[in-house]
Amino acid sequence: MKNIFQVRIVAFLALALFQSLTINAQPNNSMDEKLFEGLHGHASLNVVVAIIGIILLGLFITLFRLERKVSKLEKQINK
Amino acid sequence: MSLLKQTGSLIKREILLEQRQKYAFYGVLLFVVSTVFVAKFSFRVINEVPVWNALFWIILLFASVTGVARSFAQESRGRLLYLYTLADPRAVLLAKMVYSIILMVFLGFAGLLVFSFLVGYPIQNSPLFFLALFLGCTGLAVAFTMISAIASKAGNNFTLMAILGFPVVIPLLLATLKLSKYAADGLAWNGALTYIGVLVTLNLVIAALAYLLFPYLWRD
Amino acid sequence: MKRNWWKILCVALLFFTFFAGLLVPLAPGLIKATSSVQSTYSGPFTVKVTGYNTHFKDQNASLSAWLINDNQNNCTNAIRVVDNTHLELDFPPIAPLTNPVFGLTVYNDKDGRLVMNNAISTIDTTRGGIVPVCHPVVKNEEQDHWAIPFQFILYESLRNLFFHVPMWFTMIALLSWALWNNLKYLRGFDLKYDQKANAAVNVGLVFGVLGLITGSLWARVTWGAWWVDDVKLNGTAITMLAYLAYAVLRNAMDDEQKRARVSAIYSIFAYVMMIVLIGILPRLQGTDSLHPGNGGNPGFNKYDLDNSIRPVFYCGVLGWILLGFWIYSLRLRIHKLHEHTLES
Repeated sequence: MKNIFQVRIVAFLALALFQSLTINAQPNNSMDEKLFEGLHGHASLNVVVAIIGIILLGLFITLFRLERKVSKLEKQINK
Repeated sequence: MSLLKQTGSLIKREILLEQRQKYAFYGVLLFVVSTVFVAKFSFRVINEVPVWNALFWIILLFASVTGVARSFAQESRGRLLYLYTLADPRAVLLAKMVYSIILMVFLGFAGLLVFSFLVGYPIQNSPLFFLALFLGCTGLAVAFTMISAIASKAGNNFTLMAILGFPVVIPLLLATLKLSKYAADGLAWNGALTYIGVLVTLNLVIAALAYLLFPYLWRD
Repeated sequence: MKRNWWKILCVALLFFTFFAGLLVPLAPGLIKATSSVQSTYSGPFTVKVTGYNTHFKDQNASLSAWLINDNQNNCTNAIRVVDNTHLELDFPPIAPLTNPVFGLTVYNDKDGRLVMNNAISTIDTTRGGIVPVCHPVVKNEEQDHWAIPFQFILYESLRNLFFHVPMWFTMIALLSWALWNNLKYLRGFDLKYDQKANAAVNVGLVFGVLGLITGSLWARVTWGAWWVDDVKLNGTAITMLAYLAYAVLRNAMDDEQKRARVSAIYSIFAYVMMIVLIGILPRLQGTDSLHPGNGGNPGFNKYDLDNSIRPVFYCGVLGWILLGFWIYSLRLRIHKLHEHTLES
């Protein structure tokens, strides 16, 4: 029960972070959409965001695995 | 008794053992010949160098897994212990290594003979290819001897041997494949010198590591 | 608090990396140039130029542009500025000297000299005809503000340098730490060091997997395939396999001392293979690699890692390494507690 709640929080935070990054990372000096069409300009920015997302996701998964171990330890100690 | 003398007599012992249980050696040889035959039936003649190269080295790789894997696995624990009390453990390792090298080089050239007889021989620079074959077989033998020693400590199963062995031999195989491709294309020696250097260094490094680390491995 | 100074350093460095890495603008550059005609000698022609982060309109006064063919500069008749990122250049008829490919340079005082090699090509068979040569005035070679270097094809994705590349540095740092502990274990057979090595390998593998996935994604965008035949890529994949084999080997043995000893020996082997695979083999001439600094390619520091972003890169590397060691220390502490509860 507790874990599901935590998953939701992290998922929300990750999503929020992801969105804020996509918004902030857009170049504001030229909003010309044509510029990016087929020129990788925009795609190249998205890949940065995606890569940061993957790294964060990976680190979160690692944290969850660590946390599971801690929970097990807690159970053992409480016994 | 010096390390070299011990190694010498232990190599003799290996050869004696091999003579006594010939089926093991012929088993590997049969493996090589039958895989070559499978290649023959599916390809008839291979003229493309990359395919020829890949097939030949895959056959040798698996032959070395089956052939060299026995070096430590075939010994019972008691017999190994007895050996260690008689001789320096490093001598045991060196003997097994030298014996594996002889075996693998022999298998390599025998395999080449059968393979080129049945499937074709697209190599243009033969001396360079023989060198590549020698270095590659030596590397496979050295690496798999050590891996066999490690695997024999961990329950001796064949799967573990393959899992542990492949990451260690893949760099060797990559360099060997490159070198034999140079030989097949008949390129001059100076282009291949880097890879000869890499192969020799890799062989020496693996052998040196095995020699240094084995004393930690053998004791129970 | 005193013992945790490095964690604070880690947070600070990563904050700096994220902010600088994402907010510093990309240097101006030229993305695209199209010629109105296929033959440059048949008559006057127009070249449409698309720039990125450029200031064509703001710097109208100092704007100049010329085509380069075999080290000859061919200047424009007229420059029409559409907006800050679009230009139309009118050229007189030009016959190429020997090479039918023209490079394009656009210059203004703020953006500096913007060069695009192989901008347009011509089908002209006439060679060395009329060559109007000009000598443009260049004051600033570089743009005048802090920027991430402009790289053709890479563009904004060069920022991955601060995120993808440090994954490998972290992995190598953790695996080196594991190696050090393995050696220490073999000196005194103290299980403490085996625990450390095991935890370091586990966290190192996480960073390695992250490096592979992010690299694969970046490769999809810039090189066009998820997995390209690249020595460095294959080398890292094999390194991962070797360390996964290490994990399998550990599971195959029950006796603690024996497990520690055998896996330490295998891990030393795996480390040496890693050095060969990612350190030596890719640097050889004649290998196929798309990575900078490998297979005879020029290194990043030659043209990408100029002094403007070098500090950000090094801060990123150090920050991620510290994060890796942070996770490692947590893992180790949990493991120690686990042992402790088992004993009591």
